[in-house]
Amino acid sequence: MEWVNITAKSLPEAIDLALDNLGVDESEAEIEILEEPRQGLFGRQRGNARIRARVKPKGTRPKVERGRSRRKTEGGAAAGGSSATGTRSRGRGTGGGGGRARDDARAESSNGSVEADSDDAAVVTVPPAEDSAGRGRGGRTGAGRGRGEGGGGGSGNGRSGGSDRHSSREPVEEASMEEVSSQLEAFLSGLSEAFGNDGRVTITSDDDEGVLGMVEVRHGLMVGPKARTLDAIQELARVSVQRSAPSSIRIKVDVGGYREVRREALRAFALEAAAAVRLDGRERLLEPMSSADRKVVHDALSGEPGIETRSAGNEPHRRVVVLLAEGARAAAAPAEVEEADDAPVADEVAEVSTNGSAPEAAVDDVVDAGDDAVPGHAGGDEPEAGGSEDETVES
Amino acid sequence: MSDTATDSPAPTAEAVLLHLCKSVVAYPDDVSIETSASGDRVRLDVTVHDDDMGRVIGRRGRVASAIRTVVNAAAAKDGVTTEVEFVE
Repeated sequence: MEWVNITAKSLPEAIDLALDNLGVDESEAEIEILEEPRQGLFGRQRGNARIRARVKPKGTRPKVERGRSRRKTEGGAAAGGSSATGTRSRGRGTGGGGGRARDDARAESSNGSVEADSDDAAVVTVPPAEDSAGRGRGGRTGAGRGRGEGGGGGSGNGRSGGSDRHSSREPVEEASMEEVSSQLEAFLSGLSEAFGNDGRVTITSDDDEGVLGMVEVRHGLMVGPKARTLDAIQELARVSVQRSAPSSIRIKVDVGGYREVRREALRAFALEAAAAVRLDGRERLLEPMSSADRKVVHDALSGEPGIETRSAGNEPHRRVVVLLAEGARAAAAPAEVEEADDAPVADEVAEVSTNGSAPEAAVDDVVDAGDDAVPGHAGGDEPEAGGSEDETVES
Repeated sequence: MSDTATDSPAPTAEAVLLHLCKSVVAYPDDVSIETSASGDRVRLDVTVHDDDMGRVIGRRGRVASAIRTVVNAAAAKDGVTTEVEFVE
């Protein structure tokens, strides 16, 4: 899975951006802090927060016990994000956090606990360390969390440890797929009944895809405008299931197959935008979308030869840019647009406007916009180079 | 939801709210809802266990706002709009 690097003014901001970029919940992301903003004189901030993040691969340490300790921590985003990375980011994450945090990290790994880059963190448990270093931050699975908080404040270690210990009545062990499934079923079924439906729910689970809960009745109220209600339900389902069963298993919720229909339309739309890009080499700027939708587009085009996708702009206007991949771009259009996120996007780009429900019409717009776009686009319409590239990549 | 008041001005919203809160908190038995209506605006005051306050609110109020979104959708069925407050 690919890492994204994010630089922002503050750690929470960087993490938010990263999550948007990946289009996943923070429970599904793995975040490494590369650099934290340092506190300058008189509280002035020097430097930026730099992190890298990716979608958590299966088998990573789950985030344990959301909510409670976060409430107590200021800069909860930083804590949450870092804890989501679990043990993996530990050694790294403290890099900028000051000497003390780093010492702790050392002490801990010498305790015989998890190494900093163990990918199988989920199966490793921190031994009940009586050692003061390990204890300080709640030496059990909360170690990853303690790390994040300590890194954020430099002095938050003792407190975060306290809250972790405090919450030890929570089950610690990884919830199984069956447990997650049955909890999700109970949640959705009860909700469906509360909405006045029959409560029929189908749960499908898959090792790679996670658990999908489907409310069988196509109930418009439960979807809402732009699926806002459905998204809220999904978020609550995650909170609910993960409260009682910490888990790295992904949880998705759908009502009456709404999402699949919508995703399919979005995919088709993305593919047509990609085709348009291949045709004339110009990048296409899609309309602003939610992070989840952007992820569908990124995923749909990730396997497309010669095509690359990026996100540009800030929420809530963040949008996907579809462009020729590096290699293809070099061949078709030398001196192409650099980093999409830095560039003022509207300039050379064919603007695409869609009303997501009608991808066909939207794609017509793409092509039209492309044709009308300003000429003199750095070599973008060199038909021969573009054409040959197309053939090579598609073969 | 057997404990839903049937004479409530917003039975669906209330049932949904109760279910959501109970699902999110650690002490579901301590969840209670007080309903007061004025016209087609229904105010739902939620009380939870002290330790659960953070859970129903969530990071930057995300859980609370998700709950409000869903409850408001449910309230459409009751023909009212709702105002959900989490009271200390």
